Amino acid sequence: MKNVDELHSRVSGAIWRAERAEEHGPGEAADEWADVSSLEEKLARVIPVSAPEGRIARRGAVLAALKAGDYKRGQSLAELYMAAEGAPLSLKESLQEIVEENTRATAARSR
Amino acid sequence: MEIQIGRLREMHPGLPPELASVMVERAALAFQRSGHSPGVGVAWDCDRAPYEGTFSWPDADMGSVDQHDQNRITEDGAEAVALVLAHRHHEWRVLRRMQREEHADWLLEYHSGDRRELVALEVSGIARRSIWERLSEKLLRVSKTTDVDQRWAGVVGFERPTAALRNVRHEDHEER
Repeated sequence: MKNVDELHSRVSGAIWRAERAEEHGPGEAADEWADVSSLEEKLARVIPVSAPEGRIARRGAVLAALKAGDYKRGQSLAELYMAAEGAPLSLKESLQEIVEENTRATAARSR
Repeated sequence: MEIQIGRLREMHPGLPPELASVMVERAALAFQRSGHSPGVGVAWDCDRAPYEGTFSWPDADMGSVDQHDQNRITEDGAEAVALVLAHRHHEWRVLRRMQREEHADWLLEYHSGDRRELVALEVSGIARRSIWERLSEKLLRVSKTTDVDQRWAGVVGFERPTAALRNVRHEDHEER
């Protein structure tokens, strides 16, 4: 549990830093969101999907990868988590929605 | 009841130390910017019950106020106050910060006997004006959070020091 507590503390600090970096303009926080995604992924590895914090971490890893501009990583993590044994339908649907929303937002920006 | 904002990290050991320190400093700057001193009398609301007491904080150097973004002083200061109140009233502790797409700022936990519950808390600060309209907005927002047992919103006002922490209830959901 100490490892999980430490990871939770680190992800709190990383999200805080990414939010503040984002205030300096779009794209200014890509490195910070990549750090968040990495920490969320570590949490997802140690907390089962049956636990609420495990589902929050899985969504967080995908969300942060997309906010870092790393679509490939976001898509790949979403597919991994959706295919995992025991993943509830609600998590699968929310991950699908996160990826689709990102795709729509990217298309709208490129028009 | 005396609310000591400087005890934020002691109440929430899950907060990174540097983050807790910035939050406490900004709470101090937010109150002092509005002309208040540590020990100010405050009336606040916790889940529709009224409370009175004092808020105290480590005195901040107002010479540094221009080094901080003014909105960040309000928002980060409000987060410090709301987290201290959440611990004083319910003994909740920070588990982690949430990404904005989760519709809450903090995930907190508490233990009641063998039972462990998770609480989503969405927080906002108001430099001037009433806190109540913002509280309704924040309750609506946090009502969308999933994978938690309880959903709460907290709003802190600094001009005339006040705060409210409320649970999302059935009547709040009806607005959706």
